[in-house]
Amino acid sequence: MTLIWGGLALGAVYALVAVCYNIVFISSKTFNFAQAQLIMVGAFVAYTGLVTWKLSVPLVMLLAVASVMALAAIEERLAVRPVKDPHNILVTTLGVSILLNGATQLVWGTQPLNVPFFGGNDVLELFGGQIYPVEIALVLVAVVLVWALTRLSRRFLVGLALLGMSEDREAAMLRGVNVRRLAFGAFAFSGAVAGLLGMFVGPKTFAVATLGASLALKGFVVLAIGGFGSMPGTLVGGLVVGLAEALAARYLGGEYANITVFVILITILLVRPAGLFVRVRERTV
Amino acid sequence: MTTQQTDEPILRVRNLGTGYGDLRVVWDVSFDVWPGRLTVLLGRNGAGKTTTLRAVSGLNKATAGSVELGGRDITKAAAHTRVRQGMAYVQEGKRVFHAQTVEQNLLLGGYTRRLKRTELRQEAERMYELFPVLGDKRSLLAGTMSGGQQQMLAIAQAMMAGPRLLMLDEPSGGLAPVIVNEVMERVGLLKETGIGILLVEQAVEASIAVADHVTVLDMGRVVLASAADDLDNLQDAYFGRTPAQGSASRDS
Repeated sequence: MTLIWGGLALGAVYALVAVCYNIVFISSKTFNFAQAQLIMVGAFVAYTGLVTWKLSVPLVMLLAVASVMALAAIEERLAVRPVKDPHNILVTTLGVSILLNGATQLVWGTQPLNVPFFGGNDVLELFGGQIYPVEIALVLVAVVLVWALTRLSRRFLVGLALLGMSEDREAAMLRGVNVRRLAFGAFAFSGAVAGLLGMFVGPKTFAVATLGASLALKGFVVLAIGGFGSMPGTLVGGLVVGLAEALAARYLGGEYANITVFVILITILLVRPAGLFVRVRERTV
Repeated sequence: MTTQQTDEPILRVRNLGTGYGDLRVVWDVSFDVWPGRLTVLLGRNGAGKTTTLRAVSGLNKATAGSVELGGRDITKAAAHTRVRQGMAYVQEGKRVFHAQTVEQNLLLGGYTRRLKRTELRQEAERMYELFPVLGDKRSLLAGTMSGGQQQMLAIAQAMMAGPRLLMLDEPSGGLAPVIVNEVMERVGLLKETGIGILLVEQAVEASIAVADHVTVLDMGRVVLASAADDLDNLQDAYFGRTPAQGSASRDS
């Protein structure tokens, strides 16, 4: 059971990365390759706030949210908005991710830093398995975040406008939606969420300059399995990837963990090319 | 037919020029739309009707001329701000949000109105009265409805913004004739709410039946602007007959 808990927690980390990808994807139909790096920066800010500056948890949370949100806003202004072709945004955001990888190495070095979890570090017994408080928190945060975003997007006009933008940007504009401002807001919001998630992801994975690259890859796989734009899909994708990785590492060996994940990805994409939770709509002419 | 030109038009388009990038499609187009009346833009495929609407709505940049809404120059205003100022545009192709329910589509239509949720729902109820077919389907995803129902929804969604001017681009496109009549009947009823309507259509008879004014475009230019009951001139312009040919055929 410990293995299952570990897999679930890992899956929750990947799902949270995918959720951030989705926030940008839904509003801009683009993929922010630097999203995982933003979470990584959040983890480093959490480390600096909690360990170096010894600030209170709420203050560090605020700091992480504000700083990563500002970083995301700058990214949108410099690497997304000026780019006309959405395909080129993949290149510019990839550039930002490389910049962030380098910048974090310069500032925080290459050694993994242990980010303390504010909910304690004592291992707990749960249904016959052992689990850390941060792992429970990760799973809960993933479920609550997906539930909240799904609900809010259907309940509030801004949410409906975002979904509308994702489906037909021009039609949304003609309903009075300021699509550029809303896309910018969603980008900044995804940064704020990434900053907050750094507080939870850091204690599980350590704050390390290679974190962004590994989270980006698995987050992308989760998104491909669940379906781009589907919030519930991120939970299922995260569950599949996390459990597959944990089980394969335990029973087949560590070197088979990634292979197993990609075999599952290819199998799912062969059956449902748009992912598990996205239906392909036939184009009517 | 009411064609008094004394009251102020809600939309005044003057010498409009527009196109796509370097390609100029529309030249020197002028027309008006009055409150409570319907102006129809007619023309063959490629005459520049949709491009004109796109420029009036702000989706395409006007390279020449001006667009005034309620006496206010909006030529340079962004598309979303024109909606706030009272302009609603229903594009061709029944462009509703397929992944949202009918109700959600309608609520989103009122995005610019800063109303409370309950007030927005009341507005939606008003739309269900105007378009009864939508009332029974409020919880259905818009993408699952028929073409005619989607067209009604698109119009109702635009009406949710409380517009002073409603622009409709080929609402009959791809619909069965019996549905076209129903859609046109609803469009005719919308005039009674006092809004001005600008209609682009290829279904000439159905649109003229509800129109007050007709503007005919050809090759991106206005070739006729008249009252809808001036059918002789209209036929000449629409079917491309020269005045001489037209009078010859009438004489015979």
